[in-house]
Amino acid sequence: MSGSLKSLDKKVAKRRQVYKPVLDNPFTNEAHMWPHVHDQPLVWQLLQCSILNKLAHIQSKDDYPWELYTEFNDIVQYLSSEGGSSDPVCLFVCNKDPDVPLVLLQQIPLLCYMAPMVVKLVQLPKSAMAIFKPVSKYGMLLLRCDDRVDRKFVSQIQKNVDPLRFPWLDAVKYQRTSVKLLKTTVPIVSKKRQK
Amino acid sequence: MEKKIRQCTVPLCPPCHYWQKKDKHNMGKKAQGPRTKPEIDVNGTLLVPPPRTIANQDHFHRLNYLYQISAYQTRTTAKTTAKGHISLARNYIKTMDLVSKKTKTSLLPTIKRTICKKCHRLLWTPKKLEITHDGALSVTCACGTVKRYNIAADPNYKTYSEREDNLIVP
Repeated sequence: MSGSLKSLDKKVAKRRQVYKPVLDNPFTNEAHMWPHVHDQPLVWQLLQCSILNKLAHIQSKDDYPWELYTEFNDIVQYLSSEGGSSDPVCLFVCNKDPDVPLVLLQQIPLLCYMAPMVVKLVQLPKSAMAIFKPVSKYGMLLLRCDDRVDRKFVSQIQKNVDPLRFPWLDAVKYQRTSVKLLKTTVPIVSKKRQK
Repeated sequence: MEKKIRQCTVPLCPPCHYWQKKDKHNMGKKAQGPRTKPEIDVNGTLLVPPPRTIANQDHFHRLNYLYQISAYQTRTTAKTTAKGHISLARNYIKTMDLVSKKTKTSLLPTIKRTICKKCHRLLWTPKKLEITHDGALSVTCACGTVKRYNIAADPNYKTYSEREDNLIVP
């Protein structure tokens, strides 16, 4: 019924919508931090055929035919180790899936950029996590591209994925202030109550 | 007087038009056009359209400039060989933090996560980055302060500003 007490209660506003201005980070532009992949289905197919399918048959991690890391801590340790081998490295990340924490993803592009070796950061398509889950908890795979890895696979990935770019780290240029509005609510307090 | 106005049939008779207008004006609320009822949603929230301009933009410009100038001093130490003044960089961030508190302007988590709360360094190259045994992501600053994000509790957690429709670009 329209005249019930509950519906009447809803018609009386208790909170008011407000828009709070907030300052956004001038540097982290998520869309540009992850390098663009030109032929996403091809890269995903290649990775599945040449790496993931073979990994599925291997039981223990010691038997992996390549040098690869799937744990976040190992990946960080490898990328920040100075004086290691200078082989190029490919890092595959499922950054579009749920179950991968955003805080973790935000750390990765800069970490790769700061690494002493050349890192190819490859973002994987949506729902790639389903296949990655048994291999890695957070959907990450770091592969060292040495002689054991197929040359064609590496060259295809090099060709299809853009290099990491941080324009704000290379050149000094003032970025415009990006102020955004945060949609929230505040309670409506009557003047009588305030007294 | 009123009768006269109503009887006048000349389309744009200046005196009558003037009086008509004035008369309408005096009528008050009805003449101002149909007043729309304020919209209230299911939760009892009064809906208001977003503002067109943002007040006190200069505070934001100042914060933005301080952040970038600090980034410049940090940048030189991070990748290139040129020497940056890390103490200067820290001081800029400290000023920025104070300004934002004094002027009650807020920063998004995307900025706050890059700043050490204690020594005001930019956390671009943290001393240590790891997932601890209890499943939290810990970021250790060069000064030894640890930032912990409990990602094991809810991997899909998004902050209020990261959720859909909460952040508007004016």
